[in-house]
Amino acid sequence: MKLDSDFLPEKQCIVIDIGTKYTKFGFATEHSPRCIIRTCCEIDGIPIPDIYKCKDAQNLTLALTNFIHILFYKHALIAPKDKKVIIVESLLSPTKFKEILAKVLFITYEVASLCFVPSHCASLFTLGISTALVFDVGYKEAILIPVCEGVPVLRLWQTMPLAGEAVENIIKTRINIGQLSPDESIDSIAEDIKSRTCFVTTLKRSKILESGNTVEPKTTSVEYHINGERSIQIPGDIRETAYDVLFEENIDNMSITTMILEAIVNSNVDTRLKLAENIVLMGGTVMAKGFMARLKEELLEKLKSPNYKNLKIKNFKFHIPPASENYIAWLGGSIFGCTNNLNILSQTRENYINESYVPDWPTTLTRQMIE
Amino acid sequence: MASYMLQKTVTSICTCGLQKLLPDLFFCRHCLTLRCDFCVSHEIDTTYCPHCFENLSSTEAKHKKNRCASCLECPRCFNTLSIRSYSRTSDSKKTPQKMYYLLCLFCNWRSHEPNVPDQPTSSGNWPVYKNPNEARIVDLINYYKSISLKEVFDKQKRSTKNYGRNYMHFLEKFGLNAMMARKRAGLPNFPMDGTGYCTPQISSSEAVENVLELPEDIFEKVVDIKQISTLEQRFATPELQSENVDDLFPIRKHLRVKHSLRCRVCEHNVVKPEYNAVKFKIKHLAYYHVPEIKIIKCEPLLAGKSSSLVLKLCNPAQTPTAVRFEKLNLKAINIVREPRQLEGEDLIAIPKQLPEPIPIVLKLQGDIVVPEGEIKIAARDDTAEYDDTNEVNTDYDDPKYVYWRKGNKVALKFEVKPYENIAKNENVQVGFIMNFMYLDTMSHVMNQKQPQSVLVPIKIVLNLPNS
Repeated sequence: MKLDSDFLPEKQCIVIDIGTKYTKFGFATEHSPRCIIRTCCEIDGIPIPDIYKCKDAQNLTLALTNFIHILFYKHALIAPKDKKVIIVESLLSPTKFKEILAKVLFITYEVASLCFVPSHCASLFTLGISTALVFDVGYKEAILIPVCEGVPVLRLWQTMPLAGEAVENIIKTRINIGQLSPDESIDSIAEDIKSRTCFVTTLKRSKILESGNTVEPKTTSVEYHINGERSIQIPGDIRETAYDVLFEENIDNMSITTMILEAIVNSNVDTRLKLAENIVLMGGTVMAKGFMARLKEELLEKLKSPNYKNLKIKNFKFHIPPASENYIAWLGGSIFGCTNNLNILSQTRENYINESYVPDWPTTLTRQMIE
Repeated sequence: MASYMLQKTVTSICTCGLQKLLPDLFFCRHCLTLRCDFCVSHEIDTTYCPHCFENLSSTEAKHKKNRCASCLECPRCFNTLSIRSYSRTSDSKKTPQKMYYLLCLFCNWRSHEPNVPDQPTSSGNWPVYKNPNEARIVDLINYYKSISLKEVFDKQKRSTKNYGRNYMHFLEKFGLNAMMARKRAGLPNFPMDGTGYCTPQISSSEAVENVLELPEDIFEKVVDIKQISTLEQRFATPELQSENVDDLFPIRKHLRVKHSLRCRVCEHNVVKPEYNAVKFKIKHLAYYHVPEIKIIKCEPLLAGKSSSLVLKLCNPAQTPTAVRFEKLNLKAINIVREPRQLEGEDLIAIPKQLPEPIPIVLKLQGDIVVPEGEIKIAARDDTAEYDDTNEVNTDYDDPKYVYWRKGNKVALKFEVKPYENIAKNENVQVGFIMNFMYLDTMSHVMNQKQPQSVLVPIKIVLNLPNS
């Protein structure tokens, strides 16, 4: 049976995933985002590098207005008036941010309806499963929220500031970029070094390197050019150990490995095995070469420690998404946007103006069905 | 000259509360207020390719995913690619065949590199590359669509259960008569209530234990940084994101739009571009209506001492105007003027909810003595530029305030007295209100049939250097 909605000239629906570093933007029903752009904007000519760091409501409003303007008029090339919008957001994103975003979209840009989709649930749409341990390692932090039968289990959430930014900070401290280049480009150079030269080494090699010994075969150094003028050598050990900061345990014995294990330990006995065998990784940082293999190694290693001995888990299984990990949350939002549930779960402009608040969860109670 | 447009020495405060330069502002002739980029609503007028300037309709642009069909961009440096040809003879008897490939004149990238086959036509149906898992995503989309449709059917079924014993309404609702007719004819039933509707099955993703290991040779391999794509290059094609520079494919040029701007309050156009031309149908820029202020002389500023300041006012309008100055009252600065009442078809029945104005935060560092009384400025006359005997009547001018006057320009004397406690090397911010006479020719304003002169107040902030 061919579905009617394939033929209806429906209103275009826009899916936006505003990440700390990169924003994924595109139209629902499409298979990849139209663009992945830096989340940056400017107020009165002064660039704002991180929207999430804007604490002042006034500044945040201006920054978001500017950012949404760039998204719609430079990339989507449609006027946002009377369009449906899906925002894929982390469940832990601040309420104030959400409220201001809703206000900007509804009042300034007059969108028809708005729907906030939790990114952890949305990513499961790309796999066709409903229970998984979803682990999002982005730029600022690693967030773990297990999803059971489509419902996020918030009681088991785990989060650590261990993600792309932490790796970049390691690179910045170990390679003195500041001497070689003006201050404003340090961040982008560190990111470039991270994404182009670094990889996640194996557990065995990491242990040897940590103890100060040399390891065979030695990783080659890379000649890196800064601004096309100077060239520096990026030593092999930095290339392979930069990502190790994610797996190093802090004072509370927490690393991204133990985050996963803690979540499994604290979960219901019946779901433990299922979670361990359905691990979904998303976010840009997990795309680093060897990340998944190392995580698996680390998990199996940690299982032997006394804390997790009681777990009757033999192995861990990972899902391979049908697209790049950095936009699967977006893709989930896009698939969600195809369905009829979008109309039921989104908040309309009229409703927002009458009630002037954004519900915490997508709910059918306050909404009227939109056409 | 470019820096003159950027220097934030003389700024005007827009109706929405942002401080802007005069060239950045618009003037709504209906509301008689300043508008800026932030407080007008933007609409998309036309979509065009920035390289070949072809105009596309909005449906066409939508269909082509906002990409130009003919212009391509280099995936390595994002400059426009040019098409090159060469002749090829596969068989000595046949005439040589012309083949085309793409070349970037900037970085010398050519389309052989990612194995894009050369094309026999110059317009070239350059292939479009897609995610290899495309089919899987299509399956997923269809699956979730049908699930949500099934939910709707189920809900309908549940709601019909409560009708009791009276089945008469079914006759209309499900077209029972038609169903009976089908049954009599021996045809199978329609699954009208979704009972026969089955969702396509998809295999849910299988988790794997053997994840992708690091390649064996990664440690020893000599890495050539030029061969690894940057994030920017990868994100230009989000569906592929290849790490090797050789696997990058040409990108179709992204289109751009011409905006038409509309006042949010009265919904009249402020700026409207002309189709297929670099001109405007409507352009109500503040620059054409509001007298422009320039600083021509400023004595060194000393804390607590007053020094003179000469401002030049230039009337850009074709009608004479007059200006009247007021002191800026910081307490009343955030009171927004009510928009004018329009009538006829311009009457806005239900004013819609507008974005809140931005509270103005100003820290003045000095007092300013403004000229008293009304100062007239002549209309702009383009021919007067070439006229040397440009006699202007200066009889009514008070020499205490008017420094000189020529054509549509007048230089006025102000006095600035910075506060005692100003910091050194910090700009002295002073503000005043300039009311200028605007000849309003709109006839659809409430209680107004004749063109009328209206005083329009504009808040001006000066940032004077203090050395």
